[in-house]
Amino acid sequence: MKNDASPDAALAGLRVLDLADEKGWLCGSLLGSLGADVIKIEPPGGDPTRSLGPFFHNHAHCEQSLHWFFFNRSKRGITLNLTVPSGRDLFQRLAASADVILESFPPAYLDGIGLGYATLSALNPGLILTSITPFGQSGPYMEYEASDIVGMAMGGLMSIQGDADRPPVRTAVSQAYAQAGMQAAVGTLIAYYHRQLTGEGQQIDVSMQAAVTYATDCAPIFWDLERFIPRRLGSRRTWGQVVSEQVWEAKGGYVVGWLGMMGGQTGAVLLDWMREAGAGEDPAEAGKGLDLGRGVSRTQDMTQEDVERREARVTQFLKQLPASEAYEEGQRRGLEIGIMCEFADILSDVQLQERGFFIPVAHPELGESIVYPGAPFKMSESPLCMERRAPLLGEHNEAVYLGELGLSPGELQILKEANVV
Amino acid sequence: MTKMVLQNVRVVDFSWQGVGPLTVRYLAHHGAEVVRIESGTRPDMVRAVHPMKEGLDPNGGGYFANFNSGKYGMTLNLKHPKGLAIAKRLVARADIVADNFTGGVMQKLGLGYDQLTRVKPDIIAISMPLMGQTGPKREYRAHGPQLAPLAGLGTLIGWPDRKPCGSPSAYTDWFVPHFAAVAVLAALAYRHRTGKGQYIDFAQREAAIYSLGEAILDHTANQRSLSRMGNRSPYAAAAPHGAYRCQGDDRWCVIAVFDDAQWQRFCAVLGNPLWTKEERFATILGRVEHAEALDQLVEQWTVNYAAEDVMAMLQGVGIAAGVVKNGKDLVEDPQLTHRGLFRVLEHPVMGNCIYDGPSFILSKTPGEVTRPGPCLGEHNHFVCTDLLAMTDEEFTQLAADGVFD
Repeated sequence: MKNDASPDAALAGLRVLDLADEKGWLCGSLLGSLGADVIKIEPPGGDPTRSLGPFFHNHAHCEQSLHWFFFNRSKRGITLNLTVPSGRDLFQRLAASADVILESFPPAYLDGIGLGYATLSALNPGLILTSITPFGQSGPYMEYEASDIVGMAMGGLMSIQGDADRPPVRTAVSQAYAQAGMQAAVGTLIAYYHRQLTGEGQQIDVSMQAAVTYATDCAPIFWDLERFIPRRLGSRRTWGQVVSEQVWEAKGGYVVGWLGMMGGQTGAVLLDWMREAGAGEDPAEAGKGLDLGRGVSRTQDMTQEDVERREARVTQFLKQLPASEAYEEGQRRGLEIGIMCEFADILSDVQLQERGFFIPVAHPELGESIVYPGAPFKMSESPLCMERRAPLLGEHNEAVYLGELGLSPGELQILKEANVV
Repeated sequence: MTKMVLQNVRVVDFSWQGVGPLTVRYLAHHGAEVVRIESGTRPDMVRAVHPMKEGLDPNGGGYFANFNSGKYGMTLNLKHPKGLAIAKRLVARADIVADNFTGGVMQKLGLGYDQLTRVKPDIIAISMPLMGQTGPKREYRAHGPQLAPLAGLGTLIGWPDRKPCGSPSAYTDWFVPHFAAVAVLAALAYRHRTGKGQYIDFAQREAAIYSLGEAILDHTANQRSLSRMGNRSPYAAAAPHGAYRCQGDDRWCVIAVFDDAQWQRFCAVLGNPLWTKEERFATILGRVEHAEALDQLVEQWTVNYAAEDVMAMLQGVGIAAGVVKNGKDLVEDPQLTHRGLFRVLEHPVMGNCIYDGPSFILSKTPGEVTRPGPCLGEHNHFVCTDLLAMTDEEFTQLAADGVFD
């Protein structure tokens, strides 16, 4: 295969031209990891992502951006200037034999330069054009600018994140972009299945704002059914009629769970654990029979006052335990308890190691390998290929322009000198 | 009639709660026939949580109805030999089997991948537990909201001077289904080409780690661990960058200004007040260094206006700004209304209420939400007599035998 992918790969034979920015990052690289030949098309001066840190060993250089590495793995790379007619002509030639084009230009931009869906699909009726924008191809917000924080806010996710006494907060790594890119991948593969059955292509309108609305814990439905607006509560969370803590300080870290309001059998397990560790009992709980019932009856049984009294006991109990011990012991006893992992915890996690989740990817130009997350899922017949690093600038220009489009080296030279490629 | 891409695809869905149902929902919205199998005695616990329409009717749960829109609902006692037999008959005519039980559960039920392939050799099966099918912690338990902390994302939400917020909801439940759906669709594409099905071992936590993006490489290559930073932009230099209080109760607008040209336009919208000409704000380096002071000054301006007006004024000059929308705002959002994102359907218990439609729109074969999530056992008779061609007598006998309990 041109991209060194195995013919057994799930998407072997699928050819993707990737023009997308951060809103399409996860889409292109995942399709490539599944075996598609994804060609990242950059302007001759390089994609803007190459200027984004963090950088490998803090060298701010266009071939050392870890941002670029992570989101462009599993792709080949060429340079092409779409702002000039000679460049657009080359793009049309590439588009004629592409299956999918990923793009995130403002709505109508591609139409404006003669590369819109109508033109390209006339050349190639089976083409799938996945168009990712902040708000969609049409509508009152279609011309609005957006970065990740705007996507998070306008999609409703920020309204439920953060401490109540401080502003709503985003996540330190871009989630709106990630949501847009991943949902674009789902839409693209649905369209591809239709193409496999019928030969018909189409355009996909992906909205980052709409994608983020899927991550709001059904906030619109809370409004519609209950006229209730969920609000940010920091590390606390609503469950039925009560609000309860989720994140518990322990020695050296935090454990996570509904430990403040467990009733039924799980509650009994927690109470037993605390009792065995010398934390005693709360006579008020025994009197109320809070060790009975399970499921919904948990919240029916416990009042906010009950929850806060229990939380005080659990807080005291967990503060004295090392976080990882509390996590392991809780799991051993059958509790649904989690732990707040830092990066070091994830990298050293025995479960992830046993499953071979992290893998080294060679970067010969750096003289090193870098450890990356490996396959996000394991397929028994068509395993993903996660070992190919992101392309260097123009790395596959010759393979594509000379080897596939049949240009001569002299022609490629002229195009380079004219800043077309 | 609208073409539905997956109209010839059949799914037997044993999954429950969030990740499994949301994965399969993509397929239902694009035409797949989905039979969602539940235990009558231990129904999906998501049926019993808010949002609910008054009271605690297990058929009045908004989450469940939303996560399972477009699907048929059946109760089956899989421990009853006739219940298992019905499940296998459904598999025999299906393309995809989905579950999110802990590793080993499907095998014990008689529905492990090797057992499924005996019934349907080219079946595509996906299991979506938290930790995967293998490994020393494969049976560790966690609730949805705990997975973001377990994946390293929880520590990245909050303020540097405080403990992490973790995740306000089961955030990874709204992220990993996209990966699982990609896996299933890739398997469908592979099967179309080769005729072969396969097994997908999907660990929710592994897909969730992809949400960490470039920060993971910053750790492995540079031994640097990103941590929560409020609303600062970690890599793309930007100031102002954050959420700013506006007029009204808990109303905010986010603003992101990335370069000098944007900064000039931003200051012009504010009327070029004197403070914007201070030396410390003249360059991007200065604005980033004095971000806290800058934020306070910006908020002294925003607090006089409605969030919608701040957004409109700044977007008018090409600055990225947006209202921090809540659930009510989303329902009333003009852009989402234009896209028809929320669909109104009638539900037997809840009456008319809204459901998520597809977030992306395919131009020739758009998705549809054909029905709300099923009531418990709503389609037992339909599945048996319509899909499996049983007689009414056979169905009645099975019910009497407790097969649908």
